[in-house]
Amino acid sequence: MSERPGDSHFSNVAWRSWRSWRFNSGAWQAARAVFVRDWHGEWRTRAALNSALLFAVAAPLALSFNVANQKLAPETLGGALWSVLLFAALVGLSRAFIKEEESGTAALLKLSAPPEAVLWGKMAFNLALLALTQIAAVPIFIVLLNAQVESPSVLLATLILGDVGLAATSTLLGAMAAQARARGALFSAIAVPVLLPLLVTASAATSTAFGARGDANLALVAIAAYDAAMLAAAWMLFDFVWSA
Amino acid sequence: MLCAEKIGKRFGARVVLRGLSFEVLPRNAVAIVGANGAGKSTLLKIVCGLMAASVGKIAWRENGEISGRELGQMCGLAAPDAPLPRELTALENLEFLARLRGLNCERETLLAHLDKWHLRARANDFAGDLSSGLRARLGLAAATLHSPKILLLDEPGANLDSDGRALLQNALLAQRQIGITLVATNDAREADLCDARIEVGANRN
Repeated sequence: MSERPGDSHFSNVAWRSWRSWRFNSGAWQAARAVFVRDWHGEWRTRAALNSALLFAVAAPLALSFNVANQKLAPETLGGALWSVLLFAALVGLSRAFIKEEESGTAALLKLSAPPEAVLWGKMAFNLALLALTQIAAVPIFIVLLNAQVESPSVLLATLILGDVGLAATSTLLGAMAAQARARGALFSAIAVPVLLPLLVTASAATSTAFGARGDANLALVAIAAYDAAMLAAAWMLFDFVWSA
Repeated sequence: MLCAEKIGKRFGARVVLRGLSFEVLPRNAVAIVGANGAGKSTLLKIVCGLMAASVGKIAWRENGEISGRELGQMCGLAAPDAPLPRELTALENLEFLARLRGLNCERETLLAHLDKWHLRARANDFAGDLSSGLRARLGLAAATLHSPKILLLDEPGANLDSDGRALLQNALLAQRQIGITLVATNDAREADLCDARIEVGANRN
């Protein structure tokens, strides 16, 4: 094995992450196993999916009663859509790690799976959960609130990039919060401030997709930069969070 | 061999383990005995890396020294507070673990392993639907799936019937060909299956 370069804390963190990425050949098979197991478990209980879907459908329904026959501004629609998606995500996404701690199966994962496999497997599961929720929630939102989608490609790109950011952030923060006693409350408390930049930029991009003036490309680049930062943070920090 | 040097564990002001040193030679089985709360389960968690020792060092020495996560990967753990996912069937649980560890995941291989623990007929039952005794057998089947060099068993016979205890005895004999076994127990029958004993909690203040 080659020498570990540099002595600083940062280079140690980066080197451990790189080494695990580069040399652990079975990690992807293990990540797939984590994803498949979570998916099986979720499909059988539907605990997270039902909670997220219920919120994602009930919130636009309640909004639609209050704004019946009104034409909402694109800026309002963009903000409302991402508020609904964010809170629906918060309901379901934290479960990925909290259920491991509550059922005691975290010990099994820590002993049997490389940390990077747990990270990517859980993140893929969270991404799938978000995608499923949005496939149901976004059309309902558009229909109930009479939203006109002027630029479907911008809306789609925003949803995809926004989902990656949400999944990366919630996976890392979910693993941190799961170690605490007040897990559910802690996850929401730390997730909302960290997700705020994503929420603001995704709302701006979505508003543009609904017809508001503005540069959608700039917002999309900002979301992509947020995603890259959160993916890098998750990749570098997860080992320490998970081993704590 | 497994070497522990002056292992200590403290939870706040409460000292659980203090200055514990031991060596376990290959092919040996050692019973860890002590009163409730003495630190038997804590010691097993420290060995496999699920918990960090407050002081001291534990390592596997064989053409070099292995510690930390690499040591954990050499371990198989069956413990009441490290259960298997209840929402998966017995067979799915073994398949999941095999995939995590990069082992052979063929159905027949896994069924044969379940058969060793007389669980083949319950292969498609959810772990959560099994009785506590059968869940304990499934936990033992999972812990021995990858033929670990270090087998860690926490109160392994607690819920087992006579058939289960006979299977456990066979597993302990088989493990002697592979590596070492640490058994945390207060059951004299289980301790008697081992070559030596480590008493924890005896020198606490």
